[in-house]
Amino acid sequence: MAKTFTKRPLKDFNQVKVESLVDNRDGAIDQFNGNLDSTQLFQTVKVDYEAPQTAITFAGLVDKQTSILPTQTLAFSRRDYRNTSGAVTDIWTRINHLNLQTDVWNKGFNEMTVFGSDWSDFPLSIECEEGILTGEVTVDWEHGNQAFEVTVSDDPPLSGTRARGMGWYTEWGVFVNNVMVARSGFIFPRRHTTRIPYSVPVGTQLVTIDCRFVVVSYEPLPSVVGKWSADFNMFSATIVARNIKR
Amino acid sequence: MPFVNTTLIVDDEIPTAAELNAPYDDLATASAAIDSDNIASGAIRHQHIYFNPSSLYIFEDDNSTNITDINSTSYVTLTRGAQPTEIDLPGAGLALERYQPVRISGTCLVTNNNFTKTWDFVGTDLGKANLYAFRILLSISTSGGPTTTVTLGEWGYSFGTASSTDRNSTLSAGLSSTSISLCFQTAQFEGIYRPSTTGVVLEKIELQAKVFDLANTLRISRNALHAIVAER
Repeated sequence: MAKTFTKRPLKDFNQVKVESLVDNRDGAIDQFNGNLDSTQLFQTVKVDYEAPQTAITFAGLVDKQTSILPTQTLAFSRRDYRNTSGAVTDIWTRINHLNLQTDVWNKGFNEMTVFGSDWSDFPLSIECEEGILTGEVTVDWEHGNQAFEVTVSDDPPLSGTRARGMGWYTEWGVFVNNVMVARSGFIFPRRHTTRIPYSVPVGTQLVTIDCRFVVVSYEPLPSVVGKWSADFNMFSATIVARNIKR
Repeated sequence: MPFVNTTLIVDDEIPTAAELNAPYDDLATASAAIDSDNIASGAIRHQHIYFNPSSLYIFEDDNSTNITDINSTSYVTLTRGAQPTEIDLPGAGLALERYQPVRISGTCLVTNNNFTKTWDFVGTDLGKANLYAFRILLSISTSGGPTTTVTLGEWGYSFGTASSTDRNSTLSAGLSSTSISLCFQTAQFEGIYRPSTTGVVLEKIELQAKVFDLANTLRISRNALHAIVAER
């Protein structure tokens, strides 16, 4: 059986023709040659529109900026020590933390607002146009090891807390409109800057991007008092998004 | 701007393979030489509104041996011999439009660090000896003024695993630290710079690093910087 194709001419308002092979080819070549007439514009061409525009821009507890260009929109949302109103002044000091000793954080992906309301403006919302949304999330965090009480035979015996647990880890995910589109995989406790790229097709719609995490730490109750992981520390997070318009 | 012709084929005429292929061959040839000159009257295309089509700037050091050791508590630029890890933008720099974003990423391979001091056990710096950090530093000028620097961002890592309870418990009863050295891992990070005023010229981009404690030495081999300027 012969193949059939949906016939869609490149030029709007033209009649759909069954034998449009040459028409479509000529249309494509016309576009290459610069013949963008009133029925074949790729965008509305206006000088004031061509210049980069901006949307939401603010700095405070979160830096958030958006640049809108005709073929793409770039935006980012960032929170680091520079957004703490002077409470933290260097890269060595955490800006927020969770106490792993007093709650459980391994039952699902936690939103950044678990660190407090300072993060409530962190998710990045942009008005996308149909095309591709690509970018990455960069998070700077620290998770401590599982701790064990050990005793070394000696006279007298030595005892202390040792950090050799293998079952504790962290995972980060990127969520677009509450759907996970990329994940880091499990990462063993350490201080780490994790960068997670993502790419997802989008329509002409409002899109919200955020990152979430799971901290896996067994034995959430302090069976041995004072022998728990250090806090889960947060140093910075950045969401970068690029909407490439079709 | 090259112009591609098409062969007119009328009814009842049988085109040759060469005639059918000609527009595609010409298009493939012409695509390699697109510029902003337009020979069609009254027409416009995307290429005509590019102000600076060259938008990707790269520094890549793919040498597998270590660069100069980093053993400083203030930021120093990664350096191999006399060659710093930097993108020195050509000419007087890259003139950016207002709100024109530049995505900048840095990456490197951390290798066989010298990790001798794992934890501090006193004061407010508990655990910080374990840390090192990177920074991407931009040199910019505005409206012909003096060159200033802007920190795009800072990102941290640890030489070893994070320790246990309160970071300082491991000295109890004479037992030493239990942090496990973490060598040979990649570091990578990215940010966006976007001028909010006109007249901003981006002159240089540097990848820098520092350690918290001089007892530890950061070692790096391969490293790279990439800058992508968003065009219209």
